[in-house]
Amino acid sequence: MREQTSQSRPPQSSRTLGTRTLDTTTLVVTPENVAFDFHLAGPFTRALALVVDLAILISVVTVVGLILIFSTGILGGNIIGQGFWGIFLFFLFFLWWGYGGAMEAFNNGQTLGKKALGLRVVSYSGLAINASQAMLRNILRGADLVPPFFPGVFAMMFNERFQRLGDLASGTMVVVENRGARPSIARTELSTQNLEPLIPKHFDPSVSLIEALAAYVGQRKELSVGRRRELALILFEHFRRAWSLPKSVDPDLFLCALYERAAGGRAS
Amino acid sequence: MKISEIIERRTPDWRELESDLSWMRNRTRSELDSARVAAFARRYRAVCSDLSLAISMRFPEGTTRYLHQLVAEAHTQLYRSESFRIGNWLTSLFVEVPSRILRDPCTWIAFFLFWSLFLGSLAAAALRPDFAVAVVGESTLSNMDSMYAQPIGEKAEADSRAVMTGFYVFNNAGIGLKCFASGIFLGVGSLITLAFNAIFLGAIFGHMLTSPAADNFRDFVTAHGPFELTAVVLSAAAGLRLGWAILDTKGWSRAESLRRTGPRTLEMAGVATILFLLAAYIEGFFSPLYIAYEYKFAMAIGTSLILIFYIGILGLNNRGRRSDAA
Repeated sequence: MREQTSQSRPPQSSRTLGTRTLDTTTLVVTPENVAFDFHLAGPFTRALALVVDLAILISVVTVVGLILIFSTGILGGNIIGQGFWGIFLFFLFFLWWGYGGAMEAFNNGQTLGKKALGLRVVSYSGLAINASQAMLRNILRGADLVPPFFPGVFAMMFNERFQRLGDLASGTMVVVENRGARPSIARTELSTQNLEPLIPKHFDPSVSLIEALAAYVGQRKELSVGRRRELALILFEHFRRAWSLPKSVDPDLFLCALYERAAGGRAS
Repeated sequence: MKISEIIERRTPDWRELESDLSWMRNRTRSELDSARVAAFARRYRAVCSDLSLAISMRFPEGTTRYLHQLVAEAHTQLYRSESFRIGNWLTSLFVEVPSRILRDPCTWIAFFLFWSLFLGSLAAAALRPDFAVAVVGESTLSNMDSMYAQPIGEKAEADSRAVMTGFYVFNNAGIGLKCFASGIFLGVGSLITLAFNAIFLGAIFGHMLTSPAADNFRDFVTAHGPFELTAVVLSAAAGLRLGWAILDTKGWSRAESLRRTGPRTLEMAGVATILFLLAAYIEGFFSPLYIAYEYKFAMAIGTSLILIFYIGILGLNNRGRRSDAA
């Protein structure tokens, strides 16, 4: 029975175990000795964040420029001296080369554009970046965006962390901060109690069976009742024949009960 | 205990951590209340063990994913970026960086490449007028001629000096940083920028010094020359070092070698940028002064001595190399 249920998938196929099947995440081990996944940001989201940042920079420069045009007497009225254009150019230099670096250094890896799109720059270790990393990756942006080849986009395709050249040189990666997710609680305890006795005491599920059950229980709420039944029946049929279960048992609830027993039993 | 019970019992704590996170997200370090941060750290560690449990007990997929995200975000909030320590920066700027600049072959490759091309181009332009025309272009040269036809600075006002200083910062320091950044293409970008500037400037110097306006030209360029030309050389040297790290990896993987070299090259490019800023200030406010050439010449000597002291004397210590080996 074990072989039959586990042979469809290789062992340890989930991304929460050793081998990794998704390439849009990267694994980080914390000082608390827990490994967690970071979702990496793709080129499109990052380009959007850059557009937001550029729009902010351009509007700031335009506003300051307009104030100067009206106050330095180019259109009449001479409130402050022409010399302020020198300060303006000085300011422009620091804004252009320093905005991204300063924002990422002081704002824990986020420019305003990244904040708007829920992105953050972190080191490989998952730790926040320091000022030197922030400056370096932003100064090298110019090299990443050389037209017409955009070397940074190519670089992103050829490494596993979607890094552009500036990221590679400074040891950083851009991750997505996803705040949409909620814990999905399998609220089935009342009805699964009746099904408990149907599962044999010596039931010893394989790892891949538990994973399949966990995947099913985690996602069943998003499925319609009919579809739940249809999916659950595939696995349920096998157990119904093996343990000669009554036909009245609901396949969906039975898999929930099986999951509770399988996962709970292993941890104890 | 059943998984659903564990999840139900732990959910309030997870919600607490979420509200801690949204509280921390928009606050700087000094605005955080230490008692709440301690509570946050405790909850974070508890959620870390929840995540381990979720992985080993195979919690439902959605819950595990949620815990991954919760731990990831709490981790970035707990371990924030290092604060600036002025002392470390000064040590780096005056002890480690000069030593590294002095010992880095890239500095001397850039130095000799620049000066040989510059002097060669200068000599060619001085001997054969059509060389400068071919390199720089007719219109630029006639612009230069008319610009220096009058003795400099006679009617320069403080305002226009400030504007020109701002322009020199924006333009020259920007070129320096671009030259550094293009070094990531195996150093080729930096070398091309360096060679182009050396030949271009050499041709202009060769043309102007043999023209009737030679004295006016010399009066203007002498004072800021040492800082500006050294800044060009250092920008290219930093870029060359960055690109070279990809080729000569010293046993690391290429990406790792690049990552280890990156911060060091940023320091060199930072020194180059400081030199560009100082040069821009001299070029804007001192070079246009209508004073005897001796003062301009003294400024050139003084700034050259500063450079020799910075790279040659401060650089003699071994700290840079030792911190590289560490």
